[in-house]
Amino acid sequence: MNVQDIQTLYAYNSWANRRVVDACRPLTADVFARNVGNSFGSVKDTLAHIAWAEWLWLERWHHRSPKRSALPEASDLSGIEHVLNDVDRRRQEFIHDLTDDRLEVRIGYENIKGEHWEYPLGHMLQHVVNHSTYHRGQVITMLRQLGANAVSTDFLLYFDEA
Amino acid sequence: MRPTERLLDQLNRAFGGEAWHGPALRNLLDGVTDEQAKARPIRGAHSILELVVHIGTWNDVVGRRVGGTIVEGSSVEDWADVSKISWKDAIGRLERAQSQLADAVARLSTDDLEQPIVGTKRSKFSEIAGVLQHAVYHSGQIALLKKAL
Repeated sequence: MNVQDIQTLYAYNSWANRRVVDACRPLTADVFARNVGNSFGSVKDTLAHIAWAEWLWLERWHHRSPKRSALPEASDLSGIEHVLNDVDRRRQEFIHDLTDDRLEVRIGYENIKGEHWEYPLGHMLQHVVNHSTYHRGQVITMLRQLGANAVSTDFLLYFDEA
Repeated sequence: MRPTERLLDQLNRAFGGEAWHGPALRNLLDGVTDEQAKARPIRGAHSILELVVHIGTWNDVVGRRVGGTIVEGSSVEDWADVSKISWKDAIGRLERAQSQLADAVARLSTDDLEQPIVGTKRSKFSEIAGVLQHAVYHSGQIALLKKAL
C-alpha cells in the first residue's frame, strides 16, 4: 500500500459518502431521525457518527487529541453533509502532502478516555475507511427498513464510474 | 510492515482479529444459530445466511483472481439461492474462501500489488481492497440483523 493506494481508498470513501448522502435527501426530517432500533438508532445518528469519526481521526493525524466533538450539532442532513465535505477537503490536502515513508511513521494520540495510543499512519488511514464502510452498510440497511431507495456503494462500482 | 503484510493484516483483522471498525466478521457470526441465520428480521434486507454466502462467494472469486485465474464477473452467482445451503456449510465456505484469499495475498510481492488483475484494468491492490471493503460493509449489516433478531 502506497500513497497512491491511499488516495484511491479515500476517493472511494468520498464517492460512497456522497452517494449515501444523496440517498438520504428524499427522506423527511422525521424519517431521517426515526429510531429504528439499531446501533445508532437512526439514519441521522449513524451518518453523524461516520462524520464525527472521520473528523476525529483527521484531528489526530494533525497531532491533536480532542476529547469531545468541536463540530456543530448535526441537526439535519445538510449539517452532516457540511461536516463530511469540510473533512473531505482538509483530508485531501493532508493526503496530497503524504509520502510513502510517512505511512510507516507512528503517530501518537490520546483517545477520548485520555489513554495514549500510537500506530503507523498508514494503518490508521485504512482503519477510517473501514469504519465508514462498516456504518455505510448499516445506513443502507436502515434505508431499506424505512422503505426508502437504497444505493450501491460497492468498490467495483466506484471503479466502473470513476 | 510491507504493503502486502498490511493488507493481510487488514483482511485478518476484518475477518477474525481485532478489527477497529466494529466486531470482526467471524466474531459476529459466533453463536448465530441456523434458525437465526435464515431469519429476515428487517424488511427488505437479506438474511445473515445470504450475506455470509455472498461474502464467501466474492472472497473466493478475488482469491482466485489474485492467484492469476480469470473469473468473469458475469459468471459469478452474486446472490446465491441459499435454500439448499445449511448454516454450517455457509460458514465452512466462508472460512475456506477467506483462507484461500489470505494465502493468495501472502504470496504477492509489493510490486505484484500494482500489477493488473488478468483481463481487467484494476490493480491487485484495488481488487483486494475492494473485497475487504465488501466484507466490512456487509459485516455492518450483519451486526444490525443480529440486533433486530
